[in-house]
Amino acid sequence: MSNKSLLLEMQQVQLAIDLIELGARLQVLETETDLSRARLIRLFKEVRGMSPPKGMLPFSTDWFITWMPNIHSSLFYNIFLRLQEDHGCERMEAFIKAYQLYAEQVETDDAETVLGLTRAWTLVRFFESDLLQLSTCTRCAGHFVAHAYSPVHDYVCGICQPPSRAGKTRKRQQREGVQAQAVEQPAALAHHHLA
Amino acid sequence: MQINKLIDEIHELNLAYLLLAQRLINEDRASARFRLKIDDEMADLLQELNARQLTRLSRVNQLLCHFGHDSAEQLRQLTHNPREQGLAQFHASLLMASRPAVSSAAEG
Repeated sequence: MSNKSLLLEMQQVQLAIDLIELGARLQVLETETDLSRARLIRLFKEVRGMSPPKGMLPFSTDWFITWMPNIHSSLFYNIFLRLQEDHGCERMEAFIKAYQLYAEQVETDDAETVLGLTRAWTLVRFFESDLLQLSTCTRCAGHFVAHAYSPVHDYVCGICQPPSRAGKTRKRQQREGVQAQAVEQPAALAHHHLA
Repeated sequence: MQINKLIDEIHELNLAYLLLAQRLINEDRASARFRLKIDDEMADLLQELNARQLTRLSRVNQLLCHFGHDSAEQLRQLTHNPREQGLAQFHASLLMASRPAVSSAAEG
């Protein structure tokens, strides 16, 4: 610790702060910085005003394949790749910026942040260990997160072809509420007659 | 004349686009390059342009900013998705995010 450059250490602290602010769990910080666990816990408490949550990180790739998480994960990962590959961002810089850009789109859409920061980090790690791949949708040509080595020749994404049980978003239900009322009214009247 | 008015609007839009690009690059370079789909060299050039150069670049009869979607087929899938679930904006963002930056070398 003593012979480490002060500047390098400050950068590490700043990285940890950025990650904590975006909602990172302790395991993320321990892996991505050289700071000691004790210091990270102190930092976490100072930034968030509470102790870091305990427990294991999610470890299954399956979550990223389920419908809505897949869409959110794919958006995030597309941005991440772009920043890292095209724009020469260093890995963690690309990660933080990509997460901010993803969250920005979620906010614009008034949607729920389905992909938390720790999940996003797990996603990147899964890609790095070749557990996941990007498959190209044969309809929209978008790139979507899929299990590694899954067939790609007739792949259609979850937006072009949502599963039949896919839930409607709350926002959409509200939007359709007005239309639905017109349809429901006769039914409601019929109900009245029965009562 | 209607067409002159439209061309004025193109000039205005071009200038507004360039000014916005400069502000984005000053604010956060990496994110700006992602939003604008430009490479590092292009970002440098745009950032250094002075008012006079910006005006000259803007006063052409064509738009400086180009369309963000690759093909009509892709756009149709976005706008005419029969199974739309309220995810159109998300879909659009995802498709645009996968577009690589235009390299200034390739453009030249």
